Amino acid sequence: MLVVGGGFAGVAAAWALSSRGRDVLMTWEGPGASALYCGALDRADWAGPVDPRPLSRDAEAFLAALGCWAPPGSMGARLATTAGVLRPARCRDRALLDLEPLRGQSIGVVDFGRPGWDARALAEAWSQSGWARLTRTEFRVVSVAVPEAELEALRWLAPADLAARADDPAWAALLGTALRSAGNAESPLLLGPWLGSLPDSVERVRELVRRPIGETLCDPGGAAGWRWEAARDAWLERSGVAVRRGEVHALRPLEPGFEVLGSWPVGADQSLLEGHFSEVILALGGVLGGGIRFLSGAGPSGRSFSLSLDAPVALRLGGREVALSSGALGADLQRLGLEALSDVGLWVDEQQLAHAPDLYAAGDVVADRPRSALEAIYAGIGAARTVCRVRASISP
Amino acid sequence: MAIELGGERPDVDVIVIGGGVNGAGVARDCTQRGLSVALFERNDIAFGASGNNSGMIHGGPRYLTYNPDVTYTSCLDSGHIQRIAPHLLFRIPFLMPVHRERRGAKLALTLLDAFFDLYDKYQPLKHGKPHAVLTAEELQQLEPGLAGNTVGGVSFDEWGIDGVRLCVGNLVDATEAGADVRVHTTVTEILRREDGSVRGVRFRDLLSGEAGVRTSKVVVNATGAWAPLTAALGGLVPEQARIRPGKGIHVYFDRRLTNYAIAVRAIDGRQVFLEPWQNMSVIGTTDTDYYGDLDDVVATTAEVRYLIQAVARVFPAILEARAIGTWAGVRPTLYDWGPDPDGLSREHEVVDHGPHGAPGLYSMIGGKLASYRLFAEEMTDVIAKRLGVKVATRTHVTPLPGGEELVDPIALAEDAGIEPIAAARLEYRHGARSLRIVEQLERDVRQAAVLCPCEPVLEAEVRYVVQHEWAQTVDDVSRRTRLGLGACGGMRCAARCGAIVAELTGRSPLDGQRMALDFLEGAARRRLSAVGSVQARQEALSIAAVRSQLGTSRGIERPSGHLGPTGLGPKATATAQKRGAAE
Repeated sequence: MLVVGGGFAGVAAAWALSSRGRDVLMTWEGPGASALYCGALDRADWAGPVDPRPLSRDAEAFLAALGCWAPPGSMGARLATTAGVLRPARCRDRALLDLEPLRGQSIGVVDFGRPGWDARALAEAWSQSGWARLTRTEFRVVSVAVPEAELEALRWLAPADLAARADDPAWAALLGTALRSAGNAESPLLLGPWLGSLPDSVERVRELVRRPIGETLCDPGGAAGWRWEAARDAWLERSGVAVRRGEVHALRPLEPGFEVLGSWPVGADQSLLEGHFSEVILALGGVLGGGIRFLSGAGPSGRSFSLSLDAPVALRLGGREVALSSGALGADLQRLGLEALSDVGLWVDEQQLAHAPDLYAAGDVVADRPRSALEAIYAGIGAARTVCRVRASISP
Repeated sequence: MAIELGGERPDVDVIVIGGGVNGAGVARDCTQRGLSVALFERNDIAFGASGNNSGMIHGGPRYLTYNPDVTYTSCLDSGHIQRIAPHLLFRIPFLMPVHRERRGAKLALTLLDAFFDLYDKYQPLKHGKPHAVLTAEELQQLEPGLAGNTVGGVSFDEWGIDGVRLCVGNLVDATEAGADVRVHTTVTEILRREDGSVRGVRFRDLLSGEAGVRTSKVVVNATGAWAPLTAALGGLVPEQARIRPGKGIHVYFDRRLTNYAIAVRAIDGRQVFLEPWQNMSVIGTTDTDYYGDLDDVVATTAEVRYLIQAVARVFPAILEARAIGTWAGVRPTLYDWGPDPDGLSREHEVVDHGPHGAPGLYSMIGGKLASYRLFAEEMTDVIAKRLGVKVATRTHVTPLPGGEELVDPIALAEDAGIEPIAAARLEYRHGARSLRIVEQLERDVRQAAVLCPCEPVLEAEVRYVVQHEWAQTVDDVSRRTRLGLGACGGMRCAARCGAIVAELTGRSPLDGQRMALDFLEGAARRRLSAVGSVQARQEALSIAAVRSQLGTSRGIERPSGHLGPTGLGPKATATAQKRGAAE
């Protein structure tokens, strides 16, 4: 089995396969859309009620195995964004402050005087949101005194750099001590995504603060993505799933299975490694993750949308196969709409089978599915289950 | 409403409709000559052609052969603008290669040389350098990205300018001399007395819903491409202020691709260009008859590809470059049936609607950015004569706000403790007024935060343009500061900007979020026609980022309680009413 792609969908598939005793090789080239996620799992309709159904057993087991996510509560989670919104989510990164259990309390919004973090404006925006008014939850600015020597870093480091700084135990101790005595000693504390780039760092600060404390959602490229990658790598190490980092160029159909052509850097030099796999799960990501490329009309000839590797499948958009595009005569994104960038993808059936024997697809690379972390995890697990079922049915 | 009396005392001498460069120029000239002025702008300052052009006050060598008067006045006034707003000008040296495959290429180069000899006579008026004839090797050396077999080419000199800043400068100056400027306020009717003469206007603030009447002795229709529509508001037939609307589009890139502007021929023989402009490169422009919605002019994919194809023939790297946006405007060209749009006159004229039975109403038709000041002067001369004012114009010698003295950006950066690049961009936009903006940092150091890292724009500047330059939405701030127009498409700054604008204009944080989403969706729509391979991933990232932080405009919660007529909260309506009452 080969799983191409190391994001939510690919790792979920690898987890499901390995937990069913399958022999899996994972490969991916670099970070994709999952590494840019903001810390919330799913993209619910914010205005509507939270989906009350529990997660599937497999999905819950996967979240637990990775360890960076809090188990989903029955109400879902309520998270704060740096754009001043309180949004619902099914699950969240552990480091984020879930406001749902803190209804009706006065939440302290931490203020170090960071120029990009206007605590006063954020507190006001959150307090005025419908959820806060409904639940009588308040947000108040809590100024935190920090030693003069550390002030510069706290104020001027970029959010992700500040989070990485908190991985240093000395810094975590300093931060924890400063936060412990801030404002009303009872009230929960909400701050930006600065509590650490590793899941353990966050817990270290929490132990020192001794009251509910957590982050807002982060911008793309923030701490939540780093913590997911750290959790993934730790799980891969524990589970013994083989990983070969590199780029897959092509899948050549064999009977049965595929010949996989790609370049995997080994040490300092690039050696070409060819392999033969009975089944392949494509979890390459969409346009954002780099699994699907877009060529503008003025670019070299080719398809306007194309898979980043050569495989015996076609991309679809709006129920039709993506048409040829050449020179200045190609798909018109203005007419298709911005949604085309997230709707385009491989066409799969209910079994995640990508209309080619032994080829499965999951996550953003699939057409017409919601682009959310939870959807990717479900699809990855789904593809792995189908693989196992098909194998079981053909095995003697 | 006031009782209609023949001898009623009007609120102001002059009402100007339109906050483009012509309206702003007239408002400034009138106030300088001691007239009281009120100006109404339906959208935003420089919303139309004034803010969506090639960003040059060029002398118009194109018009030299058939309309040398336009070239002369453009060059002369370009020189005046340099004197009154030196901070807003930047030199754009052009290269015009001549390709060998053209029949008689050598002769063409000789003719071009002779042509630019003639143009050189006008260059001193605008402090431009004379042209030079260059060999193929010299061209290649100056711009290594040039492709194709050339026999050489010529260089010539033009000046770049930010049209929005020019309009804002004129209006700030007018306001400081007593003019009342109202943005996002549409004129719903031009009021006339029984004898047909104009009495004033009826207006409505599109943000607060507040409506009212303002009376005046003269009404100036300076609404550019909207001129026929505006004339109709006064009971005239649209043809009495008719124009030939010509749409022009531009595509901009994430960086400066060349040091020189390059003039090239498109497939149909039209002259188009690639120019370095502020901190990016721009290609332009088209000129096509336009009969669509003037409040919503967007470049189409077909227009973008036409331009890219033209430039790629001479500068192939454009195909790999990352286009990050487009802008489009409609030129209010003098009406003429027949000629193709490029052949239309760029002259301007004042239409006196007296003979149409509406004395006191004037329409400004045609014109170009480079000669806006002259056009405004001519319009004001007509008004002054009608109102018996015997003061000559001084708009060509008195500096625009910020143009009084030159500020060194490096010293500004050191004094204010901000990045030199931020200081340089701030100084470009505001000239000496940048000192007032950094003064805000002394009171509140947090305003030194870089809100938009692409441009960059400081929080202090955002606050300044809301408080002193009529910005009332994120879109307005972006127009004045170029916030959110860079490579990240506003992903990092729109929400914060919306929060600040909402706070300063007495609206709720939710209104701020909605404004940010409106801006992001509008900007994405303008980008779509130009999105290429690299930009596609950025677009996908922007969608994901916005959805995770702000939601979608459909999903964003609506404020409860009483809403103003436009969906603004009660606080905003109250603020607007207070403002109206104070006046």
